[in-house]
Amino acid sequence: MPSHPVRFSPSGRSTSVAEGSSILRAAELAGEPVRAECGGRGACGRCLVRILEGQVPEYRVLRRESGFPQVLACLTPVHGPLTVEPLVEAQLPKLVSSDRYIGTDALSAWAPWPLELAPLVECREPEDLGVALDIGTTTLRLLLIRLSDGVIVGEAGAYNPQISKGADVISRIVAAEKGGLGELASSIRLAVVSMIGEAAAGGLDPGRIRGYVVAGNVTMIHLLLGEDPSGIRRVPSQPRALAFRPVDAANLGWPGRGAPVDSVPGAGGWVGGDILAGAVRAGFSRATETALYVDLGTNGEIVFGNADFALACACSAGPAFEGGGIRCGMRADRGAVDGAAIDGESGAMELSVIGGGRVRGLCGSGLIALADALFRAGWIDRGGRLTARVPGERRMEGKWGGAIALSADQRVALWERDLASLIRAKAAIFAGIRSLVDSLGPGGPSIERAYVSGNFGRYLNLPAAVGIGLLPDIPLGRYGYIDNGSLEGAALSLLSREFRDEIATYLTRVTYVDLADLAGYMDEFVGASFLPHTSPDLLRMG
Amino acid sequence: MSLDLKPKKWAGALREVTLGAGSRRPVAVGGGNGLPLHTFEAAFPHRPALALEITDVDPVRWVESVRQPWEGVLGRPAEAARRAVADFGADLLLVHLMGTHTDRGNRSPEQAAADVGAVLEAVNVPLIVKGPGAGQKQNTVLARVAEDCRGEGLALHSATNEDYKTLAAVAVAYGHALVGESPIDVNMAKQLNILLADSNVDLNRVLIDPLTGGLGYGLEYSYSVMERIRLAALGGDAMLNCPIVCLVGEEAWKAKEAKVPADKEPLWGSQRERGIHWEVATAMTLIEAGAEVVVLRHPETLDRIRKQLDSWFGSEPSHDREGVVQNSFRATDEHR
Repeated sequence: MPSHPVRFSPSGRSTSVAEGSSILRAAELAGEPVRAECGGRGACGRCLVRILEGQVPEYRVLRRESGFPQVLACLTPVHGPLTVEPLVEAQLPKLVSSDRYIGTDALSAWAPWPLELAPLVECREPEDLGVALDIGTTTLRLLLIRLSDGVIVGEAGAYNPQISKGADVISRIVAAEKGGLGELASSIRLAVVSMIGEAAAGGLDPGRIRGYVVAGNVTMIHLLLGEDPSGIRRVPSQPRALAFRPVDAANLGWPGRGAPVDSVPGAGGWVGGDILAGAVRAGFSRATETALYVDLGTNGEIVFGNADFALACACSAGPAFEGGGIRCGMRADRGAVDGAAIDGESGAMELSVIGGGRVRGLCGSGLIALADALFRAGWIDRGGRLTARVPGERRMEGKWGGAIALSADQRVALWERDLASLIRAKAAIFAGIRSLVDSLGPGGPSIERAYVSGNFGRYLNLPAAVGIGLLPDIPLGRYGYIDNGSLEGAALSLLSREFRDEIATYLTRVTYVDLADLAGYMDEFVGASFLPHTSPDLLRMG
Repeated sequence: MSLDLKPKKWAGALREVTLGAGSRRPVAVGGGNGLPLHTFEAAFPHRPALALEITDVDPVRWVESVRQPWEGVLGRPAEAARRAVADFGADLLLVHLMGTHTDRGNRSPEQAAADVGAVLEAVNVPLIVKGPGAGQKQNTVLARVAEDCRGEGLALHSATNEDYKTLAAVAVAYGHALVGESPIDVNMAKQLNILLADSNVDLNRVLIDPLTGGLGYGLEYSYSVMERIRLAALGGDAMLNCPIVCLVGEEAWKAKEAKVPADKEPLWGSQRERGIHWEVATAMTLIEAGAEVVVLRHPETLDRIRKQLDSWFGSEPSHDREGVVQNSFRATDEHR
């Protein structure tokens, strides 16, 4: 079979691929970063490229600009030599390492009950290190912890490099099924190596790492360990295992001779160690009060329970809470809008921006705060569409409907479509909460405490989250915020064998509820797809 | 041992919506305080109203047996309206402006307004005016009709969750009622009514079109959603207690079972009779589910349903030329 040279511009990377391979495949072989969040199904449009030289099939050409055809790399076969220019910024912005945790004594900061320092791995030297790692579908966070005193000495964050194979868990599993398991595993392992390098940059020796504790959803753990995840997405979900034996760091290419890599066990295909670590971190395993734990990630996870029992479910919220799928979305980083207030009288809108200065985009918490402010001021209706009250100078119209300009140059705006994504995401979460709590029947326990975790940093605006109907309307004093329950639970597991054992015991009390099996979930979802809810009295839950 | 059935008393009741004003002889619908046809335990000031559908242009897709009774007047809305009221006894009409659709003739808003005006001249029953389907064209067509026919108390069909603002505004401005259409979902029906109420539309001037299916095409699902809408209304939900209108003819005559000629399916029998049965079965089911207005296509269907309603409600409605149609029925002592 003939092969054809494919060159990428302006990077100059090149490769040659077999006749009929996709341009996306060529990009992978050449090491050219092209994103394919949908996993190469032609759905996300992130792999849009411009053909500078060569011929592509006419039926794949989406449009031409200045004579150059534009095509989706994932769908377009290579039939001859090509020069290709990627059009969508593929490099994910670097996660800021805010040094939030450095110097923190993890046990005293996070232990839900008094825990003694008794690391999972042997600590021989005072400078010995351990790693706590949270593998999220979208983001990775890592802590380097001194085992002799439990103090955090290094940290790093990164995007999950597997995003190029799909934005959500299902598309990753599909990618693995198509023969990509090896690549998915090595990309995540390599990303961790570079995070360790970053975390140790202050003069720490990664060779002193004695052990790792990893928390993540069941799919992420499978992909890390190179285990076939295909059974997870079947019904009923059949992971290869929920608890894996520790592996040697060397097998993953990670530093630390003979250091074991322990993964926090899950309770079901869709209830992973990340959520269990978070729930035990929140104190569920010893709680007399019935509490709610909500992890607002791409995959929203919810636990409702106490020391005696827990119900857990997962609902697909999409990446809106992490600024994903939002046209001007970004991480909770400098320049992100994180709050908004609208003066009812004058109609003036004031935005608060992380780090002050120029508005660069909208983060998840900003989106929630903004939607709440717009709704209260009557700028958007209950369906999330703009009303006549939006001042003329802020109103924009485009192919995707209306938008509200957030910066004077109109480069940053909130689109009606973004609001629709937010409403879907918040409806998925709220319907999950409602379904889980209601599944215990009338007269069941009410929500006596609630913990919210997510990648909002310290920025989640709770009243706004309740105001748009994302979280139940219970007294705000019952809410607590846990920055990253999965990471903190992993750190506690590393430092306290007792904590790690408690997770293993507690998971036997966790029952997984498949929302797809609950007749009422779809009804709850549609009911919640409104601001704040179709029947606002349903927001009050105890 | 005797069985003592206690009448069920509900917290809420349906809104009463009056269709038609100005030169119209109004027809009021709704107002009941119990489950549909539960005449033994609840009061129903109005029996279900029966409408016939007429069109602005020749509805070429209608099957021959539906076209036959309208022979000579298809595509001539004023004459069709006269026949529908004088010969077939429709309580009200639905004027379907199908010819305004960009793919079906693209008639202008002015032509549409003239068509509706001609129907208003020809008959004095209330009109439901149905546009070409959601979108910009529907809004311009119905806005023009609403303006030119101000004060006639038309029911504009339809506002949807995605596109309600224009029609809400013109309905309020020109004194018309509004049909809110939602895709067989109790929450979405409620959401639309909330959106309309937030736009200053008086819900006493709103009908719910829950987008029903025909017999064999999801009718049981329509039934259960309508039943839930009605239970919510009777339970006191002020955002769901509008009367329901069902476009029965359109759905029933879509069914293969209603349309296929007898020579293609000899075992199915006469297509005309079969099609009318299909429309009757769909309409009766939806009336039992809570429809206050059913829109039909075949006059024979209307006749059969009228007879059935007479047998339940006791009397032919007396058309009081001065006021509201006096078709009230209340549970008698005997029934209690």
